[in-house]
Amino acid sequence: MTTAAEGHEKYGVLVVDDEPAVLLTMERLLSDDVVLTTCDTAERAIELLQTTAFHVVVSDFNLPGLNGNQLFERVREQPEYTSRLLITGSDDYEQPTGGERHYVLLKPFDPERLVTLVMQLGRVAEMKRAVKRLGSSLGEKTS
Amino acid sequence: MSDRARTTVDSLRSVELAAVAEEVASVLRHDLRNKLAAIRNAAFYVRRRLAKTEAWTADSRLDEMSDVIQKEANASNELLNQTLTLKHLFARAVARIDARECVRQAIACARIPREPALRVELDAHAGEVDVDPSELTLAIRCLIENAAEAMEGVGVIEVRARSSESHYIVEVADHGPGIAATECALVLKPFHTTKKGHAGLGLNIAARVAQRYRGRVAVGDRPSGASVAIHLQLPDATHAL
Repeated sequence: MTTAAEGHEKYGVLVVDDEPAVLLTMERLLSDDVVLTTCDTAERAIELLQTTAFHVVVSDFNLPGLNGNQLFERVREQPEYTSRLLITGSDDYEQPTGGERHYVLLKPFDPERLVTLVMQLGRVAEMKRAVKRLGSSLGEKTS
Repeated sequence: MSDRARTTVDSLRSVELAAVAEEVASVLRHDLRNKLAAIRNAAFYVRRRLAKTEAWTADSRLDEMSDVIQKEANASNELLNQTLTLKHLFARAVARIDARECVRQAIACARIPREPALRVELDAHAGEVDVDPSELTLAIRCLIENAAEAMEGVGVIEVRARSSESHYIVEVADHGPGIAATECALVLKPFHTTKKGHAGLGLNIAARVAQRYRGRVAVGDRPSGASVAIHLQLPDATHAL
């Protein structure tokens, strides 16, 4: 990802929502702080995941075709840890049973909260990746 | 019609009305929350950008108007959330029941043409589930009526119900024109219909009922000769933890 003025790497974030106004406004809110990619289907998101290691994937639940939970199953298969944030306006959204849970934000969310949460999730992904790299490097030294 | 049969039909009617109202309200809440999310995001962005300009400091009404947008958006969301209390108007009576009885009841009450035009073939086995029987009957009835509409009231609907591992599965298969691959993901969307004069809520109501009892409705594998099979799956109560 590109380098910010402060010398920190900007987090790569993929936002998936089929509601154009929500997608546009989320893009405007986040684009100053992260390297942002957007798309409107889970299928397109899966294509993008093949070529880019995003730190965070933010997805709506109700999408045409695969839904947000099904997309996150694919995100979990990524070789690098990727944080997942689901946003939904549904009354009765339930986390899938089994497996690792993801973060959920209900629409209409506080925009400031969204920005803060995405940055925190970016840090979580960065730290988990660093710990994994450290573990691998220690494993190599002791073997 | 006997008094008992009339009571059953009346009870199903009230469950159906509650289910339709709940479905419509839920779809509206979802869609309006999307709109409100966009409004809140846009208002926040404009405020964040304008607050750094001279115009913002020079005219206090900008701050005031920005506040109005945010507060009214929040108040609208509160109003939407208040409609959630409507969900509790319908008192559910959940019990452990033999799901086969709901299948039979659904076939008896379904608003479909009867023989000789349309025939329902039933192969149902016993299986215990924890549900409100009126709701499960309604859900299965929706699947049967949907199948009858697909066949334009002529032909054979196959209904199979059985326990399979930890689930009880009701399969409703029809011999209608089938569902195009591109339509499969859409059939469970509210208000989606290819039939003129229909609201497109039947399968959605069935899916919501199934979801309420930790089950699901999906397009499933077709039995030989059938064009579409919809599966309603619920946890088998005898396998519950």
